[in-house]
Amino acid sequence: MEFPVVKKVVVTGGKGGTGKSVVAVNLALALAKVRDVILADEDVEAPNDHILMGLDYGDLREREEVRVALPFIDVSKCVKCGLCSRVCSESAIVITSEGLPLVIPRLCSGCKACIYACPTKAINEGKRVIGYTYLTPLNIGDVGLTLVTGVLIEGEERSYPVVIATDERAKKYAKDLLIVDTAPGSSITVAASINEANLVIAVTEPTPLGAHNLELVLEIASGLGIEYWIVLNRSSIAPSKPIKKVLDKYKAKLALKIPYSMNILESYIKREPIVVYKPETNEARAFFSLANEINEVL
Amino acid sequence: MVFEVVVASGKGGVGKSTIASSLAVIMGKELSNLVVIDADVDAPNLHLMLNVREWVDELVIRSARVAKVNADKCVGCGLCENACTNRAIKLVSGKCVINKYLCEGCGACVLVCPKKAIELYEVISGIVKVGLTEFGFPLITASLPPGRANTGKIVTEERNLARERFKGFTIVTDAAAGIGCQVIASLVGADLALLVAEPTPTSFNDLKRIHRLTKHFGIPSVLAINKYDLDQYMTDKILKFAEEEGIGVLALIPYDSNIPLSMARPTPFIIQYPESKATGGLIKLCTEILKILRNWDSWRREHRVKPIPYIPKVIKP
Repeated sequence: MEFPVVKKVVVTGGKGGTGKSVVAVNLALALAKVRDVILADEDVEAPNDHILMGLDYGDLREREEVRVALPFIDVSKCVKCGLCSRVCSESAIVITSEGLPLVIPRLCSGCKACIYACPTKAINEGKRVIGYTYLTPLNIGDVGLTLVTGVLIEGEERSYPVVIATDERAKKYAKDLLIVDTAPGSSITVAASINEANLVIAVTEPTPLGAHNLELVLEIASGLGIEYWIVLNRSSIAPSKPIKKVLDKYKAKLALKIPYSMNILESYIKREPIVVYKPETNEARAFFSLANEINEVL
Repeated sequence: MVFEVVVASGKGGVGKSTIASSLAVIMGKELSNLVVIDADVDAPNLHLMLNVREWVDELVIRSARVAKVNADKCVGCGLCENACTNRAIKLVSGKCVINKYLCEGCGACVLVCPKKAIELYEVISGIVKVGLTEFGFPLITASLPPGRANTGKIVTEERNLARERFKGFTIVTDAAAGIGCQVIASLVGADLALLVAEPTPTSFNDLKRIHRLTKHFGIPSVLAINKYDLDQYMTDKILKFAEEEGIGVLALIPYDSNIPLSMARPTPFIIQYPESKATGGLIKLCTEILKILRNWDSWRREHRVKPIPYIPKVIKP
């Protein structure tokens, strides 16, 4: 396995609301004190990192469209062979009673298989905009970093291409360290974010639900051969027995325990990341020590 | 009449499953015909919350495919790597290697390969299961191999199965976080969206996004604000938004430190803590939903939503 010069640390976890974004934002800011950091928000269905840092949508900069291919049939060249419809894995091309193909844009994934398959080159490539990426340089307190945000347009189904576009844009600008915040769950979009990471930080909580979803994510990380550490958030709310089982099974390192914290909740609601605004608290210190540990490993 | 209510929130971890499981238990007591769907198919949880006692049926969905390379035939031309819009193919020491976690089986690589070195194989995209819960009603859930695509298709299979096997039953669906294919597949054709928010800027943001989605599909929304007393300022902002958008607010549920504690032993909260602070709010919410269901025809007439169709932005060749 080849490692790029730029290091990629991916914050994920499985279950929603375990604190992925809080951990990603605070780690990014803590590491930005010593490294050149790009934070990529790849939870494109519910991107929130900018909100946790006090920004609104209008504050995001340098918008670019995320475009995917959309086939357009040139009826004058079509010989009605029906091949385009047969190769389409999304059933996005139907054949009308006249034998002509008809594209259903909502179902199309933009894979271009139909364009490659057409024997008479009767399919032209148009585009469709399914989301946006933004690149926003930030200064929070005395810390500077660049935030790359991916946003899926409401009504579009496919977050995968937006995740890829966000990841690639972030990679293009990253010189030193890329920190990625993923979507919840364990689907292909999460796998796309985890891919090529140097380290996965899986944030979970000490409940059977957290443990169940954590296991699915670790399955991906271990399948991709990537090292993973666990952050146990709200560790005080319940015994961590179910999580311990998963840790043992996957031989995962428990890197940090964060007790249920009113300080973190307050910083969340005020949109002021704790490592910048309350660096003296135990919670902020814990993030700094995890950041140090990550820095050393990288 | 089939009545289907979908619990959705945009943001994860705001209380969807807590609310959905309590709603299911109360509705299950009132209605003889109830089926619950866990539509959060890549992070399913309701089978734990509702304590499935016995799995009575399963349906293996094999619609997914992945590409595999015959390394002997591969000449390392790299055409497949360029064609793969999923970035699932990499050339490694002169041979193409397909990342099985990223391949969706579109077949573009198969078509561009000059040596016919790539073939598509059918794989299991997921298993839809029917379980009998401790509370008597059935639960439809799914398990997916991690890293799989087609999550929306699995949700559609779950809903189809619910309608076929449990004809005429009332359906409670617990949707995934987000606004993508899984959530769209949960919402299409449903009767009512129960949106869940908490008074945080992030949840408010995601609430606006999920609400825009329900408007695209012309589904009336109602709202429950969970942990409403954590931040009165944000709660007021959300209430104002709901009023402007004509979203009925069914319940304000207070923060209750027993809720996180209850997660250690996944059981619907109102069963575990029948007298706790949040229980009243949860029961009120469920009673309101039942009221809507019982007066459905008149309620729907009063809350008709004109769909605002989504028009994709298309650039012609």
